[in-house]
Amino acid sequence: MGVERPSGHVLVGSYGAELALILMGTSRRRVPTIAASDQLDGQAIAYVMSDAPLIGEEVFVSNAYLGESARTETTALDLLRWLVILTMLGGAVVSIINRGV
Amino acid sequence: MRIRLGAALASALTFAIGLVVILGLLLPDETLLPQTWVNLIRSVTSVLLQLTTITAALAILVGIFNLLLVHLSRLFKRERGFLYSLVLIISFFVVIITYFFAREVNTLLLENIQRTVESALAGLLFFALVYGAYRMMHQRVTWASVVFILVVLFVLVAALPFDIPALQEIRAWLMSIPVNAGARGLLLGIALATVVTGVRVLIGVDRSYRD
Repeated sequence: MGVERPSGHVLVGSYGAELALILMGTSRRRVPTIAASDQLDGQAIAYVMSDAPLIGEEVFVSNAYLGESARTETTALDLLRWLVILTMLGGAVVSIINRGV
Repeated sequence: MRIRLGAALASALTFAIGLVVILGLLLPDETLLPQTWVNLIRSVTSVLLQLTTITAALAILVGIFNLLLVHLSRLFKRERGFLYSLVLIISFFVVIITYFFAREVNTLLLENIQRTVESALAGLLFFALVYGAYRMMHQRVTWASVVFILVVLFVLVAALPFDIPALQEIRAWLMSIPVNAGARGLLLGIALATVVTGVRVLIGVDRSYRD
């Protein structure tokens, strides 16, 4: 990576904190970078150091950034997310009611 | 509408294999299906999962050969940075040979070189992170980036060995409630996206494997 001169980097994978070392090299050469990781450490580093970080599930809907084709996917993801939120809130309410009783 | 046979076949195969694996993994012990069917589905699932593991292992081998070929070509052509390629190739063969013929030398190399280099890189991480924080504040000052930097600074200062109970309590609260909630939220998001991607592949909407 230090020898070749690419016009951009896409770093997607299971990166940990070591992602910081790669991104430091790319930013020193002023090469634009997209970074995403399935580890939380890597996501935090990507957020701080890359030009376009993909946080959490964003990497799975990356084609939605490029066109309209994945619109259904993002809508389904939003619906599922709301479902999880409502389930968690419902669980919390039920737990509070049970404690009250 | 023209349908390509290869694409249709790939979709059908993916759908069928995905369905069998899901059934094999999720079927409970007691179902309405006959036990022989359940056993058949489970054994097919097991074979398919083994095939996946073998394919992944083969992909790693192919990756290693590709890495060697790229660096050997760089070495023979005397391209820029060929010395790094030389170091990589020598290290690769030394590790392989010592693993088979002198295991104690291999352990010695691992403990004295690999771990030392890893520790040095971990030390460098601190400077990389400080540089990253500076760069982020230099490029885009948003409320999210300000909060991020303030929390990082606070957690780092509170981790110092000063005996200030209030600081340590706030740090413990930050780590256990907001940080934990955020981390779980991210992980839940990833899990949901994985499910959605799986469903897309199963119903044939995702075309990445057949184009």
